[in-house]
Amino acid sequence: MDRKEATQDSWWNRLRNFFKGNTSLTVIISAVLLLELMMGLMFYQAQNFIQRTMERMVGVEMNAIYLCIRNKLANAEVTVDNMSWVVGEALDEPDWMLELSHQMVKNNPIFWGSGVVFEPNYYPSKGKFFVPYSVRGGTDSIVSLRVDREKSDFTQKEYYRIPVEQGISHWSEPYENAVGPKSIITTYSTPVRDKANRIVGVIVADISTDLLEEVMNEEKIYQSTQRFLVTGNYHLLAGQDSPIFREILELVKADKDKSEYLTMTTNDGKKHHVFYTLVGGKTDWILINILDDNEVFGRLRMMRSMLMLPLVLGLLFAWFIVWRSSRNLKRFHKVNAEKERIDSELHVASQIQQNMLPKQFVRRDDVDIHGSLVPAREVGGDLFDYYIRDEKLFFCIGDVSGKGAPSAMVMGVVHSLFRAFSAHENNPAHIMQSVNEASCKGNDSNIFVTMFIGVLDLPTGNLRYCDAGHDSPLIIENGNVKMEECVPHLPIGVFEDTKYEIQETVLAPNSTLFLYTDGLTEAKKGYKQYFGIERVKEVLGKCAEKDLSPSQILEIVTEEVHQYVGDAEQSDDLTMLAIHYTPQQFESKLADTLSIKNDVHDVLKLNQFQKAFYAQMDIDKSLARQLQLAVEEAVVNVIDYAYPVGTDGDITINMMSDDKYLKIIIIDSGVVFDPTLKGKTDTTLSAEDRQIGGLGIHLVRELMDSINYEREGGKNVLTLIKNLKNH
Amino acid sequence: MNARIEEIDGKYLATLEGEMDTAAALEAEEVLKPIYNSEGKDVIIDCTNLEYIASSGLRILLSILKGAKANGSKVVMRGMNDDIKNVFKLTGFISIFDFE
Repeated sequence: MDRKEATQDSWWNRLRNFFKGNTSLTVIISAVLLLELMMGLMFYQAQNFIQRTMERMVGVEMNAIYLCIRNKLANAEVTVDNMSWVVGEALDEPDWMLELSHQMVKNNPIFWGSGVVFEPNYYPSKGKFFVPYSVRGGTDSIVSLRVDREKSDFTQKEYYRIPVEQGISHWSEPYENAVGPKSIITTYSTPVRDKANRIVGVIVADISTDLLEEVMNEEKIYQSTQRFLVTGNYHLLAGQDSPIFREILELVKADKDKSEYLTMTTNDGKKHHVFYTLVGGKTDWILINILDDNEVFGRLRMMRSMLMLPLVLGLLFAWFIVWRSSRNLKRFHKVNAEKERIDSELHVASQIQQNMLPKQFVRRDDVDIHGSLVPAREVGGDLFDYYIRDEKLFFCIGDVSGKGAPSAMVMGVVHSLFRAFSAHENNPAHIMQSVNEASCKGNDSNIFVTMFIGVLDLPTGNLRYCDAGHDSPLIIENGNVKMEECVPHLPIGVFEDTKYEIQETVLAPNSTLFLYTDGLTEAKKGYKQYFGIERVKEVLGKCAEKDLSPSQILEIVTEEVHQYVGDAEQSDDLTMLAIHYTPQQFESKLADTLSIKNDVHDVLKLNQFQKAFYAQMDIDKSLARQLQLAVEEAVVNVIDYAYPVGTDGDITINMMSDDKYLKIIIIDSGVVFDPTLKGKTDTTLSAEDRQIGGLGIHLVRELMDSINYEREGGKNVLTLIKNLKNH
Repeated sequence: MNARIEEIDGKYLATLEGEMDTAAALEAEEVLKPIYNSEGKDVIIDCTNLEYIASSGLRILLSILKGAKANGSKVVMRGMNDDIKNVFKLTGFISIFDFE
C-alpha cells in the first residue's frame, strides 16, 4: 500500500516537476486544451443546430411527399369504394360492367387499369371467370376486355383473396401485370356486395409504381436524399433498390419502437440518417427517406478541419513565442545571476579600493588632511594617498583614464607603485619617474594616468611636487585662492622615457592646498554644462573667508557640486584632497650650538657638549644616554657620508628644547646626503646574515621620535625631534 | 674607555669599561682584533663596567661573534647595564648573543 502510494507520489511529482521545468509546454498544453474545449463546444452546438434543422426540413419534405401520395391513393380509394356500391346495385347488368371499367380508367388518370372481378361462376352465362377490365394501352388508348381465360385462376391472387376473405379494401403487394403493357403495379381492391350483402367479387384499380416513382423523385432539399416506398411486407414499391437500401430496410424492420428516425453506418462505411413514416389510409405502406450524413454534416466537418489548420499553426506560433520568451527569461535569469555575482564582486572590489585610501585622516598640530573619493560607478579610476614619513607629508592624487573596473585595476597598481617608490625617495619627480617606468611596462591597453605627487616638508613648509598632466592644485592663502602653475608633463603610462621635473614652492603657514580630479570641474548637469574651475575657485573663496578645516571644505564643495548637477547621473569619479598647513613655532627655552670638524675624534667633543646640555635639561641618565647615542650616530653618519675621504668640513649641531620637545638640527655643507632614504635594517637576521653596517641610522630612528632631512641652501639639514613627555 | 683581553681556562675574556663612543671604538678595535679569530676558543665579553656603546662598538662585537661562530665557539656576554641592553634590544643583538 505504502509502496503504491510512494510510486504514485513520485509519478505525480515527476509530472509536476516536468511542468515546472517546461513553462512553455505547460502554457501550450493549457491553450490546446482550452481551445479544444471551445471548439468541441461550438462543434457540438453547431451539430445540434444542423441536426434539428435537418429533422425539421426532412419532416417538411416528407410531409409534402406523404400528402402527394396520400392524395393520389385517396383518389383511387374513394373512386373504387364508390364504384363498389354502384356495381353492387347494377349486378343484373353484367354487360355494362366493361363500360364501367372503361369509364373508371378514363376518368382517373392515375389508374393504370381498372375492372371488376366476379367470383367464379357468378354469371353462369359468362363462364367460370368473368372479369370486365380496362387497361391503358398505347397513347391515350384504353383497351377494354373481358379476361376469362380458364387458366388464370385469380381467386388465389392477393387482390381478390384478401378483400373477399376478410371483407375489407386492400392494397396489394407490387406485381407485374398480366394484361396490357408490362408494368409493375399495385392494386387496390374493394369487395362488391349484392343486395344480400354477400361478397360477390372485387372491384380493382391498378396503380403503376412508375406513378409512385415520380412522386419519389419530387424535388429534394438534400441532393443525396434517397426515397423509398415499401409495403407493409417490405416489398419495394418505389425507389432505387441497392444493397445499402436493403441494409437500411433491415434496420427499419428491426425498429420495434417505430421511432421514425434512425442513424446507421452501412457496410460501405457511410453514415446515413433514416427517416420513415407510414403512408396510412388503406395502405400499410412505409415512406423511407435516407440521407447521407456527409451531405448534412460534411460542411461542418470540413469547416472544423479547415479551422484546425490555422489553429494548429497559431498554436505552433504561440508555442514558438512562449518557448522563445521562456528561453529569453532563462537567459535573463542567467544574465541576472551573472550580474549579481559581478555586482557582489564589484562591491568587494569597491571596498578593497576604499580600503586602499588612507584610513585615518591625519590631524596633527602642523597639518590637517582630508580626502574624499566618490566613484561614478562601483569602482573607479581615481586615487589619492598621503602619509607622513620623516616629517614629510607624501601625497598624491591621480585620475586613470576611463572608469570602471579596468581603471580601478590600474588605479590599484599606481597606488601601490606610489607607496613603494616613495618609501625610499623624497623627490616627487623621481617617484613619478619610477611610477611611470613601471606603469609603462606591459601597458598594452594604453591606459594612462594623470597624477600629481607632492612632498611637503612639515618643519619648513617646503613643497616639492611633480605634475604628470594633472589639474594644477589650488592654494587658499590669506583668504585668496590662487592656482599653483605646474610645469605640464605627459601623463603616466604614455612614454617610458618621459622626463619629469621637480617643482618647488613654499606653503605659507595657515594655507590650504586643494587638489582635485576633473570629476569636479567636469561635473555635468546638461549637455556641456560643466561645474568649471571658476565655480571651484568661487566656492573655495567662500571657504577661505570662513577659515574652514579641510573636511568642512570638502563637504561644502561636494554639496555645491550636488546642487549644480541636480538629478544628472555622476559622469566621472569625483576626488578631492585638501591639506591645511599650520606649522608650529618652536619656542626654545634652552638652546646651544656646537661646531665640529668632520673628524671622528671630535665625537668626544660632541658627547661632552651633549652631556652638558642634557644636564641643564635635567633629564634622567638613561634618556640622556639614548639621546647621546642618537645624536652621535647621526653626526658620525654625516662625517662618514657627507664628506668624501680627504675633504674637510664643519658640522654644526644646534640643540634646543622647550618643556615638551628636544630638537636637534645637524647642518653640514657636504655633498647631498639624506640618511632618511636608507633602507630599514632587518634586526631579526642571524649573526651570520647580519651586515656589519646600517646600525647607526637604525638607532637614530629607533631612539628619536622623528627624523627629517632637508637640503637647504646647499646644506644638508637633519632635524631630530624627541618628545620628552612620551618618554 | 678601556678594553683588554685575557686568556683564562682556555677562554678569552674581553673586558670593556667606560664609554665606547665612535672614537673610542676605533682604539678598542685595535685591542680586540686578535679575538676576531678566536681559534675555537669561547669568548666572554665582560660589560660590567661598560657605560655606553655606539654602533661602531656594536660592529666590533658582531665581528667577534661572526669569527667565533665560524670556528664553532661561543661568545657570552657578561654583566650588561640596562641602557646597553636596551640598545641590544633595539638592534636585535639580544637574540644573537648569549648572556651569562
